Amino acid sequence: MNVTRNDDGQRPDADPRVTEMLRAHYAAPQDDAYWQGFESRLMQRLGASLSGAVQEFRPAWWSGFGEFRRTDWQKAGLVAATIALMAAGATFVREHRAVEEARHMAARRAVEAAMPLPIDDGTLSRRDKRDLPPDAPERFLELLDSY
Amino acid sequence: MADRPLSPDALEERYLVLAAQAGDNTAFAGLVRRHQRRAYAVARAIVLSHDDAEDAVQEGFLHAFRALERFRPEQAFGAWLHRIVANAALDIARRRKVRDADELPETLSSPHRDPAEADELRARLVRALDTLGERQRAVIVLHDVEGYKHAEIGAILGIPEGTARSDLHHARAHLRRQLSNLRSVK
Repeated sequence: MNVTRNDDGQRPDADPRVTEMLRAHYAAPQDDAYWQGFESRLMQRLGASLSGAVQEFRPAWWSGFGEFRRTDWQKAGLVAATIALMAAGATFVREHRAVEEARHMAARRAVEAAMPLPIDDGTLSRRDKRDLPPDAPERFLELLDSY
Repeated sequence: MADRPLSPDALEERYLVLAAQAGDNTAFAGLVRRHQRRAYAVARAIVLSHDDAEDAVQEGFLHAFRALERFRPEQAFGAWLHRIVANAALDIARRRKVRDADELPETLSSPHRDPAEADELRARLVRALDTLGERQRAVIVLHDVEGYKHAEIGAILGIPEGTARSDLHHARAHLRRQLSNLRSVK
């Protein structure tokens, strides 16, 4: 580690007279009253800054709208429109499924009413029908599944 | 490794820092009282006038107050503060340079409240200082006037120690050239 020592302006490349002039030129105020006043002004400024900071961090609830620029509004509108479109699409799909389900159940009830015994789900499933003999009557219900 | 015991002065400072971090403004005022003169010296080395140095110190303390939560009490508060004040001073010096670009150098570099301003030697020194680069001027003042070491100057100005050493050498050579005939003036 390099250890440096301030040469106090006495090194060969330093001119003691210039150093002396620099010290006189840059001398800080010596008066204690000046520093007391400076401290007082600084703390006052700090206090003002603090009260400003409190207001800054506790804005009115509506103040955020005032800070919106035109592009911000456009972005917000675009996001809202996308969300509304997705919600409408989801509702449409859900209603379509409900209608399909209702039509399927209506057709099933009609078939069940026409048959002497109730038909369970296994009877109507494709896997079970593959095991049925070619002349089994349940095969004629094939049309119901594709309905 | 055991920590070195703190001096009473360092202990008091740490107490003030901890109290200020806990929201005690009186403790922060105590820190201001302890450090304002050195902070002024740092700022004054960088800016060209007393008024700008005052502004830089105030800005520096305000920044320090806002950043106090991030300060670790085991650090040296003075070194941390001086870096902040130096940055505030550099900022003011840059703004001033842009704002007053078309003003006369004499106006720019007039030292506030300097009773010897009219003195020819001082006036020439001021002009010579004004021809120095901002960083070189800060380095020579911090070293030759305030007695900071190269490493400390490097830490304050955010430059390597070797750069501070080199800047000092060049600044001294520049001033010596600019003021070479002073001996015959007096």
